Amino acid sequence: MAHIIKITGAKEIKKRLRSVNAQLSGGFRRGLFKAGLFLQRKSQEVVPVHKGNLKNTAGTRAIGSGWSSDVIVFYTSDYAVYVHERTDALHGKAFNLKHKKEIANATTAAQKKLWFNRGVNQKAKFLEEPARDYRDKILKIIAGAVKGIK
Amino acid sequence: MNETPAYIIKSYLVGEGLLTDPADSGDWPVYTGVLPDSPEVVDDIVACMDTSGVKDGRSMKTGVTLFHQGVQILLRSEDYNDGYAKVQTLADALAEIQNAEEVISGTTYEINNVTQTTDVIVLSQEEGSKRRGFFSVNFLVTITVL
Repeated sequence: MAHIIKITGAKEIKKRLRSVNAQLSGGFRRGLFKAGLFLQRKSQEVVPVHKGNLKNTAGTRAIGSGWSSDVIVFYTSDYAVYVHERTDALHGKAFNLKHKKEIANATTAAQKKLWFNRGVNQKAKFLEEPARDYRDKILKIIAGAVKGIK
Repeated sequence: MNETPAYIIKSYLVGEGLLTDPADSGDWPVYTGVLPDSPEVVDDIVACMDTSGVKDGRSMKTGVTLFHQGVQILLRSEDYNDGYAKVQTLADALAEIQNAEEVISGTTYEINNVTQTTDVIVLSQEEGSKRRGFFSVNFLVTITVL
């Protein structure tokens, strides 16, 4: 899968914490994972949903150990990158406005499966945008977990 | 800024001769904010899209908040390999920018820097008979109004 975004700043936090106390590595890993889950949750709030397959393929995985830990937030659906990068496609409010008539005229079950009002916040860049918008919060979660702050 | 970062980048790429204005009916027309698909539009086209940027703190000296705006180059091509080569050329051209000036409607913009944040992302070939290729590449840009 394509590498979409990397959050900068975690390396600097790691460097500083490591210099203070090398024993804090467990907390660092926990913090990274918590931050990953937070990003996944924020991404789930804006990911486009048609049948729900894309949304259901989200995941967060921690790799490595101690100070070498890393966390990946991902979508395994094969069209995830396509939906993420096609910023010209209509999602959310724009979709609802463009297809207002089709949505209103959908009567059969088959029609209603395709034409229904999408969540207004749904959009492309459903992983990159939350990562940028919540960068400060993500870094705070990592630092907080190391220091034992809840 | 009166123009969006994507429009400024589009204008720069047209000025460099890498892309053309759709009104000129040349090769590789470039649009802003939309990737049109209709019988009147050629298959090989590029779109510059505005995406989310990054807030990178505030200058203690001036109080100015520093933003790096997000720009995406989205490309559609009839030939898969041609599309990949073209998007790579565009990415290389943008990577070389260092304080390039771009004048649009009497306003001078300085494109200080363009940072590529992803590799060229292959969005697969289109379903159906046309099988056109789609590619994207993302950037963070720093633009100031002179």
